[in-house]
Amino acid sequence: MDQASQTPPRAVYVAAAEALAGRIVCALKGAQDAFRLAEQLPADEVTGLAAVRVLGPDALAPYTVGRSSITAEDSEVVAAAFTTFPRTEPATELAGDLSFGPSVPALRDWATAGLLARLGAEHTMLDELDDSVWDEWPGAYQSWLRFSGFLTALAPLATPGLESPAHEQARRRPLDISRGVTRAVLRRDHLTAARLARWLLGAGPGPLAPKPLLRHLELIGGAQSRLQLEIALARAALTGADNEPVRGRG
Amino acid sequence: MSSDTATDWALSAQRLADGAWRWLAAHHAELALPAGVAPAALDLGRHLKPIGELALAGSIALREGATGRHAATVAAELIEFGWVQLGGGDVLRDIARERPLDTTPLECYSAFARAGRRNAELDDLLAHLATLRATRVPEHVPNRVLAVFNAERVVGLDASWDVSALAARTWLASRPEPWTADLGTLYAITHTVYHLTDWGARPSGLSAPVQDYLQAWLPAWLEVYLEAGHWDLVGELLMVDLCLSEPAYPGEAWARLGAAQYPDGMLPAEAWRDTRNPNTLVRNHHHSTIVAALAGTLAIARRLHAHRP
Repeated sequence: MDQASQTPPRAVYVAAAEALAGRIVCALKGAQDAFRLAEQLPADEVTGLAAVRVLGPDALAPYTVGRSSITAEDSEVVAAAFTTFPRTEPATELAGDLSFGPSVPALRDWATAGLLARLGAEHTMLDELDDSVWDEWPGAYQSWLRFSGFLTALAPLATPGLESPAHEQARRRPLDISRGVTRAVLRRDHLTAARLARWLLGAGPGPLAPKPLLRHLELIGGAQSRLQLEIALARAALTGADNEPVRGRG
Repeated sequence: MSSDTATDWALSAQRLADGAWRWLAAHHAELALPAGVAPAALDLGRHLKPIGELALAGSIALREGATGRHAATVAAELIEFGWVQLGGGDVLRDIARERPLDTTPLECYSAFARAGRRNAELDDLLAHLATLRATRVPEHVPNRVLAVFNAERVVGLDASWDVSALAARTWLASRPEPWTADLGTLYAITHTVYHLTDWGARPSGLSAPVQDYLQAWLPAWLEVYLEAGHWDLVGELLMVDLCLSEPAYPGEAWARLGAAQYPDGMLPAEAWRDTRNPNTLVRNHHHSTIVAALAGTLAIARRLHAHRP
């Protein structure tokens, strides 16, 4: 059997990420006992690691915004996901409007590493915390459309406890994020709307009332777990974090 | 805004208007009233509305002192065309006699009145009707009640509307969650703005919170409907911007709308609407092209005389 036929197709990974998102949503809603990431994965190890990689920092949500405590076994799973699926940059044509300087995958990994550090789950992959990933963050003004496009891709960074130039700009531009949310809802792109809403809520009081928006998305956006996870995380951002944030270079 | 951007924006608006007026000059006769139909038997939406809209565009262009190559000439031509179609107002008078509570004749007449065309018998009838309790609470949606209010204001009737109360009942006044706006509600918003400001003449007709609200959300709505190719609504939303005390003049939106215009000046209503059948062409696309003429003309005028009461 050749290598290609052993590799699960992309659809299997997507389904696994959806399943893991569903379990995390349950954990955040308190429907489960202590969440063990290592115990939530499918029998096929590689598929499980792919799901962890796809959700990125959000795979840690039961520990960062939920009440579960991370174990060494759980952080090993995250590290194994990094090793099994090393970071790759999207092809230029896929990156499209997001080719704005810093690497989105690198920023997401920076966030995963930063959250692990905050959870006390030290690991060699903490090298990723190097703030140089922020060096290419654009200083120049970006249109609201472009800016909200960046933030959509970086939604997992809008987790209480993280701080970076993106967070700083998000706090200064709540109207621009709200325009992005408005556009996304009107295009029936509820996932993007929920992802952007996470930044809106971390940014404090703004032009859009968050609670009715999130309830609206919850009720009309469909049952996909990844959407419901974004909504749950947006609600978590609404309450914010008391802990000292992990800072990126500003 | 850099001077280059300002120039680009103004050029887009000027080109849009020039082309639209040229197309209207060539095609407006196809919107003539059907021959041999008694006034009371006319379909007000299908037959009368286009005549009124042509006259509206013409009357605003004349009010604004339009300076384009075609605008002033075509504007006068459209008003004259409509006025002849309406028998110098007699058609409107006959409809009003037949159906005194129908506000369409008044609304249609107001565009002609703005351009100085009057019909004495219609004036007498409308003045009388305005004294009746029966006409003071039209059973219309709130933005349409504002159309009646503004028409009476333009015609010069001494009406005692409580404009604030009328405005407060509109969807816009509630400053609704911007992510709920759909096509119908956005058209309601645009018309609330047009009537309260008399098509951009008095931005102060809009309260400060409503102006802030529109400045906040117009960019998002414009983007959605530009992407969807809904050119008619894009033109209307751009015109809303021009009715504010401080328009944003979104240059990219003007350029993208201009790019949708056909070489002959027609602005298709929507990117997907049929433009090949000559029998439905004018019927389908006259409204969006009127909007293009009106928006482009108002834009140039606003650039020349930015400050308005």
